[in-house]
Amino acid sequence: MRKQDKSPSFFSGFSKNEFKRFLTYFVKRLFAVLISVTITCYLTILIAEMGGFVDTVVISQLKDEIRNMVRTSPEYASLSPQQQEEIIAIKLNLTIKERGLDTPFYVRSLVYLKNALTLDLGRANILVSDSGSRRVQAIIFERLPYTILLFTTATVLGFFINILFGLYLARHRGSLMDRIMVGLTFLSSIPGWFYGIIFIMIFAMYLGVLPYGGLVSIPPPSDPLLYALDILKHALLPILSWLFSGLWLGVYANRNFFLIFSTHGYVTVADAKGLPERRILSKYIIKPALPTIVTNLSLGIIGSWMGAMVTESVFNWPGIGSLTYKAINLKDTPIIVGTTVIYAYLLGLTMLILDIVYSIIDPRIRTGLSGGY
Amino acid sequence: MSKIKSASMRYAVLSELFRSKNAIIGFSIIILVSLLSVYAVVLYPPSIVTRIWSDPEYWRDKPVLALPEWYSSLLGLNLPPNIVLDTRKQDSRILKYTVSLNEYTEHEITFTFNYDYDAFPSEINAYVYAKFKTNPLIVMTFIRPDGREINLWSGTLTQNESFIILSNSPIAKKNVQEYFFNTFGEYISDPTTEVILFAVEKRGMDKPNTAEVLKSAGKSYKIKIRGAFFEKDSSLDVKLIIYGKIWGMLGTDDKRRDLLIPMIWGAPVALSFGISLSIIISLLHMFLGSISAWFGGKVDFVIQKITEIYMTVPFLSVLVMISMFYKVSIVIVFISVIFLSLFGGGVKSSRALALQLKQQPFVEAAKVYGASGLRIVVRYIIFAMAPTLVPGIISSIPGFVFLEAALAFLGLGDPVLPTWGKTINEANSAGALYNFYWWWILPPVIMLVSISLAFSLIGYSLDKIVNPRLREM
Repeated sequence: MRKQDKSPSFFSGFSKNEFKRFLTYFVKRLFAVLISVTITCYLTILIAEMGGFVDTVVISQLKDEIRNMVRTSPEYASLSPQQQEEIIAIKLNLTIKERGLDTPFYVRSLVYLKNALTLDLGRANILVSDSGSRRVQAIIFERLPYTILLFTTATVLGFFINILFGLYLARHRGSLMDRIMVGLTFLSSIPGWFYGIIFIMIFAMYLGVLPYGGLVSIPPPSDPLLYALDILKHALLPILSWLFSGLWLGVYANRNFFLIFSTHGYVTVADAKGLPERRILSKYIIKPALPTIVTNLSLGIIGSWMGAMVTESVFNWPGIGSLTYKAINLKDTPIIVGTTVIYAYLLGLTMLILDIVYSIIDPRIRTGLSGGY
Repeated sequence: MSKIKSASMRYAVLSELFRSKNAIIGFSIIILVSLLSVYAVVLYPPSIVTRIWSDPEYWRDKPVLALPEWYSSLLGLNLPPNIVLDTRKQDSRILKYTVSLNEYTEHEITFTFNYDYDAFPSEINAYVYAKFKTNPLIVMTFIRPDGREINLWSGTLTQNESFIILSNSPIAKKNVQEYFFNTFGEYISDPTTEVILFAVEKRGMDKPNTAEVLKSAGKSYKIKIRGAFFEKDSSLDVKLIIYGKIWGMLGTDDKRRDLLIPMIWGAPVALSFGISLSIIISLLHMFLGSISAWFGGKVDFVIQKITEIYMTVPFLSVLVMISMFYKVSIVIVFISVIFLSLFGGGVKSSRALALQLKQQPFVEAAKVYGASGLRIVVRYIIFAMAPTLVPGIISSIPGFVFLEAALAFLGLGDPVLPTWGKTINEANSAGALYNFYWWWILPPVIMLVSISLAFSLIGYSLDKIVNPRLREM
């Protein structure tokens, strides 16, 4: 009886005091993440501005807007094109002054920073969203769900496979399977995108059973169920290559980690008491290891955001990774700057969500004891 | 005393390492790749390779997308190599004579050659070297073993040295269309000249998959070149190339370049990029981690905060941005990578190790004799920490090798150096995967895989020896 009282489940309600601490912790982390994102955005602007790219982009965009305004307004319709051009030039100068674009760089960069942070990312030079918009924000947001779909699936799937497999090996140390898996750890030194190329060579080029890439077949099936299956078929190779690359080292690391936890005295005692295996695993091995496991998951997701860029380009998956690839080839600078800002936000958001999960599973944060990280 | 001990320990580690099968495989691969690098640098010094690699004229004599030579015998087929006929060289297949009358000179060259291969050639082109004052007229005629004559090219020369595209020239295409129309009464819109020229005369000879090679079998093919010059003091020399389907050890790409060069040149680039980055970054991480642990307080706080901020910097995106905006060489990418990974995860693990080492007697002793903080960090803590981190350094090399490959794959590779990643990028953009140009994409893939496996095999073997706790498990 007493034992059950002392071991509350992971998600049992917080007491009032704990909630307050949780809230302070959350606000602190939110603040830290916001600072990180701001710094990254500023860094992005600095890098882009050193090549003079932001200024050119912003001013050409202003010019476009003003020209459109002047050309379509009935007010100026009676003027000759030359007079219109003069008015455009005057208005442009005024707007540049008004927006503070003629100020020294450190002031100007703050204006740009504000734009970046509010996701006002300007217009693309060449690329257009499927809905026909030139706005970088629209182009990126249109593709973001595909990236999230693919890589969150892959990372979460990989996470569970690695933990379960690692746990199994830790409990069957020295078995044939264990030795094979440990011996093959080196396979993880090849990144997912590269396995992608190898898998395309095997499954698409040589065997011809799976598609080379893309999101759906052309023409796409009209039945929604078949459509979903078609997407799944196209997502199979990218997910597989991502899982395959992470599997070996992931399983090895989890195995070693669980082994360390299994050697603790209380596990031996629990074993000696004859507690069922499931209970030992969940209560005595997984639970204390959970905070570290979650940290690993967060690192995994962050890694997958970055890996997405190349993997999507390999498989021509229509997410932000392959958008970046296209933008590189077309020299579409606003898109590149935009994706960097979005990546910074994604990383920050991932960190924040995992911080919350962390604070829920790590009692030390709630109870105010030092620790956590 | 301690020196002897550490030397014998090093010996013990090495001897144990060489007892591990994995490590031996890893070392052999790395030695092979190192030899390849030396070979590459000796055979094609950097100054030469960067010049020739992006120079299309240098590669004009090579066939487009040729298979490796050895593949021909592997298939049991007799695929055509390049046939080069040069009037400036002694060759029994060349007949050349000159007739002159007052101010008029006529040069006639006849190339006679056999063609007994199982596949069609890929192209026919010629270099014409002529000496003249008034532009001469040139006519080139192709004569098949069955007696058919097709005009390949005719026109005036304007330069003393010119490169003439023959089989893909509009004149040749038009004449082949005419020949086909006269024979079969059908019009083909875009004839594959080199196929029709070398095919048995029958219906379907215009398509590569239905056409059959007209083997010379005793009778030979002829190409006749006649030049009408309008002065006495003139000369005409022709180098004719009938491009084959095989070339060299690894074939060629779509720009006719020998694929052996990026294959061997990728080795020194990958090795130097991977090894030096991994060592430099690990040392910097060790240094920052130790400083953080040793000085504690504000220094520790600042370093830890910067490390956390670094985690939200989208590394690859920023690197892409830098590479794109500044049109950089591999050297600038190298420096950017160092700056972008300065406060990476390694700082945290080094800090944890340094916190333990801080309590060790030898550090206390150093403190007592009055060593400065920086001296203790560099001379004692990093030195004590380094051996346990060597396996990690070795295992992290593939990551940097693939980083270069990833940037190159995205189209941001070094503009002049041929590397493995760049070759994969070029092959991929040319549709090598869809079109089955396996000889183009497979060698760099195999090289990248083997080099990364080699380093990680050594890394993990070393890890087992240096961190014996892993061995027990």
